[in-house]
Parts: sequence; structure tokens; C-alpha cells
Amino acid sequence: MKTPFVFPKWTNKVPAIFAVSFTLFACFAIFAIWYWASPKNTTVGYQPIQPVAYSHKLHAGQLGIDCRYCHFNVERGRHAGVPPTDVCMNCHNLITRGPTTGTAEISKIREAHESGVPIKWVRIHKLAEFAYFDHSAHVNKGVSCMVCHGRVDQMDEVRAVAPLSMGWCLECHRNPAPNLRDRKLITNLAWKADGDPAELGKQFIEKYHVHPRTDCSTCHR
Amino acid sequence: MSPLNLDPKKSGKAQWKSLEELAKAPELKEFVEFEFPEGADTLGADISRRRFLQVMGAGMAFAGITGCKGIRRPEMHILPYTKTPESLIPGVPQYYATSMALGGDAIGLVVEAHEGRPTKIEGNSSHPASLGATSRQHQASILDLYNPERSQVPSKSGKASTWDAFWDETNPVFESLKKTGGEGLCFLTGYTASPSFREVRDHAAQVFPKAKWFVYEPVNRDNALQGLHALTGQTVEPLYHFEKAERIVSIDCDFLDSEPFQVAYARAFAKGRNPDLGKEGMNRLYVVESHYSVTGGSADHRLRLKPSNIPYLLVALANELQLQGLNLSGMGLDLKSVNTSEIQNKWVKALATDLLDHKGKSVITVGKHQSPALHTLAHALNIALGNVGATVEFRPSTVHRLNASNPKGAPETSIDALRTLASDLDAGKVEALVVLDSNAAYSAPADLDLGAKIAKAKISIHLGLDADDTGALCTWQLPMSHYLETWSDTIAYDGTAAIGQPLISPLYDNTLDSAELVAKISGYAQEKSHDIVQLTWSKRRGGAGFEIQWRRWLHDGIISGESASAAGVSLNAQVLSTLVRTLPAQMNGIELILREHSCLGDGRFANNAWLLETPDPITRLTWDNAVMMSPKLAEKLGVRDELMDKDDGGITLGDYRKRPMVRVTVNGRTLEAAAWVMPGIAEETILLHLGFGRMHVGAVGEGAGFNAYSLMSAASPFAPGEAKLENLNRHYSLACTQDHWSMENRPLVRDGELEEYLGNPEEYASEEKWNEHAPEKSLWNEEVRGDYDFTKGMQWGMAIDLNSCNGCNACIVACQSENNIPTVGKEQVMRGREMHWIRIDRYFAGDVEEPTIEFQPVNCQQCENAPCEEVCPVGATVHTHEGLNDMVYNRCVGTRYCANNCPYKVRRFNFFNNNNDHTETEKMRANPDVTLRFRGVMEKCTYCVQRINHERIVTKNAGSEIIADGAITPACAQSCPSQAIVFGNINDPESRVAKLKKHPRNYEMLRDLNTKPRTSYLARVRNPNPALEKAGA
Repeated sequence: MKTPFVFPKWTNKVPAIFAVSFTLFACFAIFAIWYWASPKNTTVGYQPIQPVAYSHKLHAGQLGIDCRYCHFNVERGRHAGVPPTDVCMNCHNLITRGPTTGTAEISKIREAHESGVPIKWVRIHKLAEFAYFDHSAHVNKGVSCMVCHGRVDQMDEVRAVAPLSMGWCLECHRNPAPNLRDRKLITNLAWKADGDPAELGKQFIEKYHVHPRTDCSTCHR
Repeated sequence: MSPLNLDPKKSGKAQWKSLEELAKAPELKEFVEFEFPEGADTLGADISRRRFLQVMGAGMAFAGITGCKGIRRPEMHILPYTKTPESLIPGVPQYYATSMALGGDAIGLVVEAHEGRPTKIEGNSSHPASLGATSRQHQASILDLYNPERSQVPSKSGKASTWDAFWDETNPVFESLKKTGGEGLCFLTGYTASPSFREVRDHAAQVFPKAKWFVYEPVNRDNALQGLHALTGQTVEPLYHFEKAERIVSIDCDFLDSEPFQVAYARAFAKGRNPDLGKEGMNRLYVVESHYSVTGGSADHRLRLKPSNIPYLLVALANELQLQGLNLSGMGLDLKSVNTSEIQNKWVKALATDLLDHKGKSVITVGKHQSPALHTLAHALNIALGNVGATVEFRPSTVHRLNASNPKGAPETSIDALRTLASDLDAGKVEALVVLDSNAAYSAPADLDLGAKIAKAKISIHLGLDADDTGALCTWQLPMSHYLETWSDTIAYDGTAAIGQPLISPLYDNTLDSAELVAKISGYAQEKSHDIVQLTWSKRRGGAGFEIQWRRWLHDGIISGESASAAGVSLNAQVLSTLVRTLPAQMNGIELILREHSCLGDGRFANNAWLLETPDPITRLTWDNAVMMSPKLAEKLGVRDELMDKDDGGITLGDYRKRPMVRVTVNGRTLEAAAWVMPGIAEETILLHLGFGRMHVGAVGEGAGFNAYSLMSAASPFAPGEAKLENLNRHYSLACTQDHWSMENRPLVRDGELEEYLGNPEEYASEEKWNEHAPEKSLWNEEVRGDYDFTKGMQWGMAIDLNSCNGCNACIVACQSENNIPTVGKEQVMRGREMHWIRIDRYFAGDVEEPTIEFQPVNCQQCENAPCEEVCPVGATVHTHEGLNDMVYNRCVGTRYCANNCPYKVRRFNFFNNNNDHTETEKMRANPDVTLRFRGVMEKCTYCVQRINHERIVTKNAGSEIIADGAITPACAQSCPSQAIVFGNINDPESRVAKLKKHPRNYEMLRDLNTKPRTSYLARVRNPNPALEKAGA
């Protein structure tokens, strides 16, 4: 007579193992999405290779060209603006050879200028289409470029430093003081407040009437 | 941020361009039709699933090539300008003044452009025909620019060809015609308002001295011109000053909505209708008409008469005026007495007394559809009453000067021109027919049968925006430039000249406008529209400083120093003595009248989705026209029960799926069309609107409505004669946005009479008087609203003056254009899914045969205690600190609880993804400042929050905290011809809106619900004649 099939003893542990591993997996999945799928991970550090090896470190850092020389619409319009090739040619009419790349990169600019075919810069900072951000509203209130874009003057290839997520925007909209400075200093990326920036910022809240709104329609229409 | 590349070869991403090109291929025509979203539901587009997948697959394959580079997100590019365009800041719209002519009637416009693409049309406040406002058609004309079904390349006999092929074939023809002096060359156009076009035409007449030029405008100004020419011997047209008129008599004249200069007239009329200035500050409007017009809706007294009886009412009025002491026989006016009914006699008596009491301060106007003799008589009365020089001016007619073959001669009529052309075609005399921007094959009276005769021309050429009915019949169909793509000049009705400058270079290669084509054919000194227009004006106003002047004209939108002055007139007593004999005879039986449609006009906008979906002001019908008849006539015909239900108090229309079809027979011609009951139309009268039922119209307008031109006769175009009606016992579906006529005893629209208002203004619109319910109590303590304090800062509010609103619908289309509101098609409208953020409610009051009408624009009321916010489970609709009720599309999950809980029914739900299938050209039309909404999302009026935000940023950038009153104007308020809508900060006691909110006529709709709406209304005031006992009689 055959003995009836009996599950081995170890199978008694299966439900427990399953429960524990499933819980662990679920916790990991939640953590993974929370950590890796957040803009802090997906956006920050994004550093694509640009079609022209233009160095902000050289132009803005070493040569000390003001941000607004190229991004000249920043105080007037919604977009700061990627400079038209015209603007590059103001200098590069005469300067045809760079210190590191020679004529290779500058000639791309000159070519674009002559042919009228614009350079396809790769976009780094991108808000969702339904968020309406306005550069002029921020820089005119004493928010430095540095707050959102970091020390661009130290970057050869520009990299995203802020998550640009809604939560991150709201942090500043709720408490703008630490991020404010004198309007004259907005493009001085190396500037550091003497003392507590939040204390200093309070005076600019008064001076520039900084009352950031947190209503939905402030940014979404 | 990427700039728009205007070169079509370079524009657009490669993958979509190829799909477009695929779609352009003739074998994929069905696909194009399917792709166009607005009409898609109505089309029954017949496309196999297999074919659809093939084409979509092709597009996807191309799309795949560029994607998938980055892991984080698709790589996007920024393409800066290589050369900076002058004064363009990316993201900041630019505004350019231009000018548009519509059937010879010109208006000045200011067009908003985003990085080189026009997106929104506004009125030009310094142009007298606009005064900052527009009509719905002007607003919607931008949609035609981006219409993907526009004619894009020349086509020969329906097959795509090239410009070279066209010129190769036609150049020898025109060369040989030059040798024969143009014998057999015929041009056919509509009215032009352009002096440059006239210059080119005059040049063509020199090159081809024997060529003939025919001007046919289906809905024209011939009758007024002829009538005044008979009276004065001059080619003049009347210009009214309604703001100065205290008594206005309109004889079938829809001057608020469909006469030339209507936008400015609506403003003037509203200005002269201010009850707060006391008895003399408010005009009184008498309207005599057969159907219900927008002007009739504003009337203090409205008399409905059969069409053929209307002229005799004016004769009776003249008789009565004479009886009451006005000296008319001194003018040679010999009037035999006419028989009128009792009510008419009473009406005429009271009216005559009222007019005599207001000599020099009254106006009698006659509509353009009425016979010339009636115009003669009305203006003879205007002269006798001393109105001419005060409230009426006779201005030299620009339409005559620019369109007549002999500008110094007598008026010529459109119908005569078409008759001659038809007989020339019949006789085989036409070597070459050039049709310029005219769809005469569709809009000609049926008895001329022009469409069939066009083939008798040896060669026929049609220049038009689309391959319309006429284009389809011509040998060659040529693509025309839209007015926003080309240079032009216009002369408005009052003589104001303006330059029309383009906002964008032509979307399709080498398109021409009418002037350019004639210039090329005749070898004019200039061939480009810019040079043609500049040549005209340098001839007139040339000399030193022309360039500076030219730039000034472009900037201002008007050419200074060009307005015409009043013509002095002398009377022709001869014509007056025999006048009555020339009036059309009175008729028995049912009479048919034809009128242009309030949105489609004469049919030129028949493929414009915005206008097709805009409800007719009176019937609120969309996407169709219908045979309008009175309830009594419907009963006679046995269709009343199918058209109307009567429950207690409210009258509603019957089941929308079951509209009876009727056959109309006039002069032996028949048309089968759906029937519709229109309260207020004369009993034995039926009305059909023109503009529908075009054969070659495009995917959107395909199958919309019934072609009323098929009943038009050359002898009497707009009143073709006695009609026979037959019930066909078949049914047709009509889409109506408001089939309920009654307010259900709720005081939604409040109105009363002037005496009452002046007697006790405080009580006039008060809650105590109108509302039996006390306001409901709040569920919570309204003093405590967290950090929301509506007494501080900017608090937005709106006031809508129902005394000024005439229901013209301009706001609806303006809102649609500004806020990227989709159209949904006829079937969805029938399900009540139209998307308009602002609607105009129309109520009938009083007798169902002779009702008065009330209009009430309703947008989101932005309630302080918003019922929608309480029920949203996901917080998708929340309040702002400035009192706006925000709609957060990204939070919305589509429960639609908010719409159910909204007592004003202003929330709109996207049942479909209405913005999905737009082609690249259509996408260019969208306002980039407003999010496009996806399927499953609720939307509603935002008070144009994008404009509020824009102005706030501009103000703050300038260092100020206070936004000036009037700096923010929502799209509806901006387009409103009568300035009925006022928007502003209610916390600023000096703002216009705050003052209106304190006005005694101010009231809030459904106040008893305690919603505390931010939109309020100013009650309407009527000014009836005490001598006519019943208001509206």
C-alpha cells in the first residue's frame, strides 16, 4: 500500500517566508519609487552633452561675463532665453580660436550664423507644460539665478542642480527669505550673505514687496 | 521657446510632417476627414480600421526614431534664433494692428501673436468701426487661417497641380486676350473694401478695355443705396448716430447684429440706453419685423408682421405723421392710405406722436433686405423729422466707390451683375472667367443656375481660401492668402481707412490675394501685396515723410485724415410722388424669408467649427439651420406636438431626436428641411437662414444644415414669395443648447420698466422684491476662513449689465479663442456636452406667440461659498486668496460631482480628448498661455486668470503693487460690442466694477443659495411707451 503524499516539514515555513519577503519587497518597491523616481533623482544631475562644447565656467566664471549679457530677456520675459547666434558673434566675430578646443567648436557657431540653421541645444531645465514659470517675476524680486541653476559659473557642461518639483517650488514660495538678495547681486553667483540669509532676506521682503502666492492658479492655468 | 520657423519646408518635426504629407495624398482623403476632430462625430467617417492602423503605424514609426535617447526623459531641444527678430521677447505676446473686410464692411483689429503666429483677434479701440470690440465672425476668422483643409496648391479639374503649370497654360490665354482688348474676359468678385484692389482693377480695365467686371455680394447693400439714390440723386449711405437718438424705429433692420457697422452701432445704442440718466437718457426702440432678430430682442415695443405687410406699416406711419401735422406733401410725398389692422393703427398712432415729440432726436432705419422704395420713404421721413444732420448722416458710399463699374454713375446691383454674367455665359461669350474670392455658384439665386453655366466659359479660374462649390466647378482652383497673411487696405463704412498688415507669412507657398492675381494677369506696376498697397497710398499721400506716415498708420491701425464727411443732399420730389406704387404687393398665404445666418453669414464660414457650434442667438440651434415657424403655424401643419411640450409653467421643446422634416415649395422649387418653432415669428411666415448646406465645404461643415439658396429667386432674393409647406412625416435631429424657455419662476433675469426704476431705484432689483426665499444659512462660520481674507488685496469680480447685452455671441467665440476651448460636434451638443465656458441663456417671457426675450450671459460665477469645492473628493477645485475658484486639471479625476453641485451649470467636462488629433497647423492656433485639457477633466471659466497673472507680473516688475483698474480685461469683456461686461477689483472702491456692485440695479443670481457669487448682474430696464398699454405689444 502506498503511503499518501505528505508535504515535507519545511513547507510549513513557506507562508512565513513569503509574508516576510513580500513585505520586504513591497517596502523596497515603495522606497525605490520614492527615491529613484523623484525629481531629486531624475532631474538633479541631468547633464546632457551639448552640440557645442560651450563652457559656462570659461565665459561666466573666468571671463566674468554677466549672465544677462547672453540671457538678456530674463528681467523682461517669461523665458530667460537661450542667446541668439547673433549674440555669440558679437565676440566671436573676432575670436575664432578657443583655449581648449581651438577652432573646432567656435566654427560651429559661425556656421550656424552663416547658414541660419539654429544650433540644437539640449534642454536641461524643463518644467511641465501646465506650469507657467516666469523668470522676470523672480529675478526682479531678488531671487538669484544661483537658487535654481546652481553655480553655473563653475560648470563646464551645465548640469541640473535643483529638482524643479512642485514641492521644491513651494518651499521657497512659503518661505522666500533665505533665497533673497539685493537685486544688483542676482547674477553674482559667488555671493554669500554675511550672517543669516533668512534675516537678511526679511529686509528684501519689505523692500521688494515679496509676497509669493501659493494659490494653484499662480502657476497653473 | 523654440522660435517658429516660417519656412514650411523647415517647420515641424520630421516625423509629423511626413504624416501630414501622407495625409495629403488623395487616397487618404478619408483619413484627413477622420483626423479633424471637431466634426468627426457627425461625419460617420467611413474608414476601415486596417487603413487607420496603417497610417497611424507610419506616423509612429517615424516618431520612434527620435525618442528613447535619454533614460530619464525624452531629450528635448531649444532652438534659438540665429538672428534676433526686432522687439520679440520669447514668451511675451506681440500685438499688431490690422484690418479685416467682411462682405465689404471693414473693421480695425489688433491681433495677438506668439513668436510669430497669430493666436487671438481683438478689436482696435482707435478704429471707429470697432472701438475695441469685434463680432463673433471676426473672432472666428483666425480659425480659417489654420484650417488644414484650406486650398494649398493650385489644382486643375480637382487634381493637384503647380503654379508654373497654371501660368504656362493661362499666360497665352491672357496674352491673346490683351490683343483683343479683353473681349470675353469676365471677372467675378464679392464686395471689396480695398482702394488698392480698386486701383489694380482700374488698371486691368485699361489693359482689357472690353473685359467685364461683375460684383456679386449675396447679402448686399444695394437696396439702401438705390433707395437713397432715388431720393437724393447721390450714391450715399446712411450713417446713424444711435447714441444721440432718443426714439429709434427699426423696420426689419437688425442694426445691432447684422447690418454694416454693427459693432460700433451696438456700442452707440447701449450708450444711448442709460436709465440712470433719467427719462431723457434712455432711448426707446420700436422694432417691426417678421422674425425674431437680435435687435428685436432689445426692443421696447416689437410688432411682428408678415413680410409683405411691413412696407405698408411704414406707409401708414407716414400717413399718421402727416395727420398729426408733419408736412410731408411739401416734400412731394403722396401716400394713399393703406389698410392696417387695429393693433397696427394703435401702434402707428402712438409711434407717430412719440416721433413728433422727438423731432431731430429720432431715427427710422430700414433693413438691407427691404425694398429700395422703403429706404426712400424712411429717409424722406428722417429728413422731414429733422433727423438728418442730427442722428442720421448721409455719407458717400464707399462700397459704391470701390465696387461699381462706374463709380460716378448710378448704383449697380449684385443681382443685375449676376444676371448679365449668366446670360453672357449662356451665349458662349465668355472666353475666360476669373472668380476672385466669391462662391457665387453656391450663393447665386437658384433660378439663375449659375453653377451649371460656369462650364460654358472656355477657361474658368477660381481664387479662394478653400475649394468651395465654385472652385469645384472651375477649371483652375487657386489657393488664396488669408487676410492675416497678406497686405491690404480697407475703407470702413464710415470712411475710415486702414492698412491691413499680415501677421504671418503665407503658410503655403506662393498663395496670392485677389489684388495680386489681377496685378499679375494685367501686368500692374507692382505684383506683391505690400508694394501694391504702398503704391496706392504713396500716390494719394506720397511725398516727403511718407515712410514715417506709413509706419504711423501701421502702428495706429488707421490712416489719419481719411474719414469721409457728410454729403449735402437735395430731394427728388418726383420719386416721392410715385413711391407707393413701387412698393412690393401684399401677399396672402405663407411667406418665406431668407436671412444670412448670424454666424455663418452668407456661407463663407460654413467650415468654421467655432461658428458652427456657436448657438444661434434666438433659437440656440447649433450645427444646422431649420425652417422657423410660429407655434400656430406648426399646429396647422400638424407638427406642433412633436416640436413642443407644455408642462406646468415651463415650455420646452420636444425630444431632440424627433424634429419633423417639412418640404417647402416656393415658385416651383422645393427644399426639404427640418422644422423648428420660433416664438415671435409672424404667424404666416417661415424663415430659413442662408449659409448652410454647401456641397463642397470640408469635413467640419459637411452635412450641416439645408441650402436655402436653392429657394432664392433673382426677382426677390430675400422674400422669394408664397410658400407651401408639407409635413414629410420623417425626422431629423437638431442640436440645441437650450431647449428650455422658462425661468421656472426663479428671478434669474430681473427687468422692469423705466418709470418703475426711476420711481424707486433701490427696490427695483432688490432681493426683497424678487426673491421669496430668504438666503440660506451657512453651515460654517464664514468669519473664519483660515488665511483667506476677502477684504484684503485684489479681489476679482465681474458685473454684467443686462441692459446693454444684446445676446450677440461675440463673447462666446472670444472666450473659445482665448481659452483653447474645443468644439465637440453636433452629436455631442445634442447630449449637452458643449464646452463653451460662457453661454448666453435666452428666455422668452409672455405670450408664446408674441414673447419678449431676455438674454443673460452666464460664466463661472466664482462663488465665495462655492458649492463645487465642497464636493470635490480630490481638492481639484479650490479657492484662491483673490477670490477665484481655481480648477486644477492635474488633480481632477473626473467624478463630475462639482458639475452636479453647481447651481449655475457652468462646469464643462471633457468626455473625449478633444485636443488630441490636431494637425501641426491647427496646433499653431492655440493660446500658449492656457493649458490644453485632457479627456476626463473638468473645466470652466477662470476669469481669464492667464491675463490676471500676466498683468500682475508686469505691474510688479514695474515696481508697483496695485494693478490699475481696467488693466485686466477678460476675453469676453474685451470683445463685447456694447461693453456689457465689466471686470475688476471689487476691493478698490474707485474701480468700475466696485461702483457697479453698489449700483441699485445690481443683483446676484440665485442669491438665496448663499453662494455669494463674484459675478453679478445689472437688471434690465425697458422703456415702453405709456400710450401702448401692453409692454412688448
